[in-house]
Amino acid sequence: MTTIAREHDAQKRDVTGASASGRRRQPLGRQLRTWGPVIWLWVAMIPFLYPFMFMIATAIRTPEEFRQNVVNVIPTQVTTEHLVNAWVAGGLGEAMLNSLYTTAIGVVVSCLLATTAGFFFLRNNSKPAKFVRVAIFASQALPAPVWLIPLYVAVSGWGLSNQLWFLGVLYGLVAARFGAYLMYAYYRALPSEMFEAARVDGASTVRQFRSIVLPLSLPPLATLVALTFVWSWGDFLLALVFTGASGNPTVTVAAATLVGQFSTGQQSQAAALAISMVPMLIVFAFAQRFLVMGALAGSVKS
Amino acid sequence: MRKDGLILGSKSRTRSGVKDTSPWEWLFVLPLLVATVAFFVIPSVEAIIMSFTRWDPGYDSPFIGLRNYENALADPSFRAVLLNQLFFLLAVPLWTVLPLFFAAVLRKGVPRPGIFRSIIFFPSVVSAAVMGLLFVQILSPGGPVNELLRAVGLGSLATSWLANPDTVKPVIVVVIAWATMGTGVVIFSAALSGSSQELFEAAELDGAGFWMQFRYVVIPVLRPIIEVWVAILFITVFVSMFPWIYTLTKGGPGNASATLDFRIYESALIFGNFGIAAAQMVIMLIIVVALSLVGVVVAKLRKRWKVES
Repeated sequence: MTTIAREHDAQKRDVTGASASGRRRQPLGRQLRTWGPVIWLWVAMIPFLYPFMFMIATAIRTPEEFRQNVVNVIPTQVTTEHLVNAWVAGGLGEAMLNSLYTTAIGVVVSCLLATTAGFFFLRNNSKPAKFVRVAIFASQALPAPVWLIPLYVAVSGWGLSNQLWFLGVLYGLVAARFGAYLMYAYYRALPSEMFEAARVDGASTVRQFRSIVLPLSLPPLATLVALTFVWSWGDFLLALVFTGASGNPTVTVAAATLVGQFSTGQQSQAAALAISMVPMLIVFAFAQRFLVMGALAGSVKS
Repeated sequence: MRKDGLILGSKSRTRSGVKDTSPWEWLFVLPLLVATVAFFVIPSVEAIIMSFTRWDPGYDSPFIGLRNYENALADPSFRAVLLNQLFFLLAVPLWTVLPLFFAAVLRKGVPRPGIFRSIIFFPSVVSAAVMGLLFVQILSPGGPVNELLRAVGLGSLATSWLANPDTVKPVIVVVIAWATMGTGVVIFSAALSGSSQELFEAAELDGAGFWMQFRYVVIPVLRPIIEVWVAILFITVFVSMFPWIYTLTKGGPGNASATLDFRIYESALIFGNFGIAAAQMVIMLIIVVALSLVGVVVAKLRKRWKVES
């Protein structure tokens, strides 16, 4: 055992040594100066990592251990009780499906509307088209708390207010206005000779859209999909107003109303929060690049 | 990166539009246009109209002039809300300097800055409501923050952070600093790596330390993007605090942490005072428009000043 460990250690030293071989010969003070910031940075990371570790530990440890020990985030007695509680009795399983459903609709709607509108803005630069472009973009400045309640009152009258698909469409629209701008900015940078050639070859507008624009749209579409997913999945205000009283909530609303239902309420809620984060974690793992691009586009656009 | 002028130069049509667009192509934008008007513009206009009525959805809503505004502004709890908003506005510098600082630290001299950036960025991807619920547990009277304080002998500092009127707002400021840090670091890091490195090299040659570089290189170089970030935060403070406030405190204790968007939700959907809620919506709209106008005017003035000097 020890020899293996020692060998392993030696290997590790070798690996790190490859990049730091020059550094090793440097005096101690210099070494401290290079590694000081790193240690300091890891300390600064504790507040960013601890809440998630606390959440996971709370979600999977036994109530007895939780009561004895709140600060330590390394569980020794593990149980699935709280996860099951949240998933079944807390209705989180259903809520996850509801969220998936609304989010999927949101993603499809935003992609459809953003690509078509972006393509239109590229082709048509007449005064009215420009006005529409600016107006749609500017409408994002209307705060959700202003339009949400009148909209809710109006659609309640039509019986749509507790329909999940309607919430999904709303997510799509919120994202599509930003998406249309994202797409337009991207299309504008495409070489116009391409469209010229397609036109000469007799490709109709619809054909150009389908065969040239859509296949080329994948990079900005990935950004838009990632952003719409994160927005819709994480939304709370719209979901609370539209599904809070329907008994058919999305995952954020379900997690918010879960506490106090069980004797181990806090732990079940931590379990619910952890479960609700899983899709986010997957998106983050695979699409962080696109989320970063979305954050950048959001800050540069104005 | 393609130069815009290149396209415009080779193709006058990009500027003037394609010559052969036919009216039916408007169908491409029609769904988004109609939906934007129907879902966002008309309800907003309706909010303005209904603010002058005793709005009672499903029943008659008689016109009552400015009564809703009088009632809203005379309400001392609404003044508390506006003061809370002011407090959160004062936190904007903190929410700006912290991510700037981290971006500057990560710019150079740290191996594998991507790991740190990912760790910091993740919380800004997760739902604000979910994070709020998590922080309720962390900050609860018997939660890890207080237990840790007790463990290191600072038990006298332990308090129920979110139920204490003295601590609730600062704690919310810290939580939001934590949550917005990621987006800020990502944006500022990208801007830093996109800016010319010569300035930093020159500063280093002149023997400028980290803080000197931060003050005299990082901040001036990033000034335009910092302004955008601050503008976004200013609007955010008035418009999208709801998930935090709802999950962390429900506006409490008393009105110590209620914000405008939370109060609108409460007035309409908890208390059923739709007319007063509408007046509060219009106040929010006025604030947002005023803030945007101030931003535009400042930008214009600065441009003119730059041209003249």
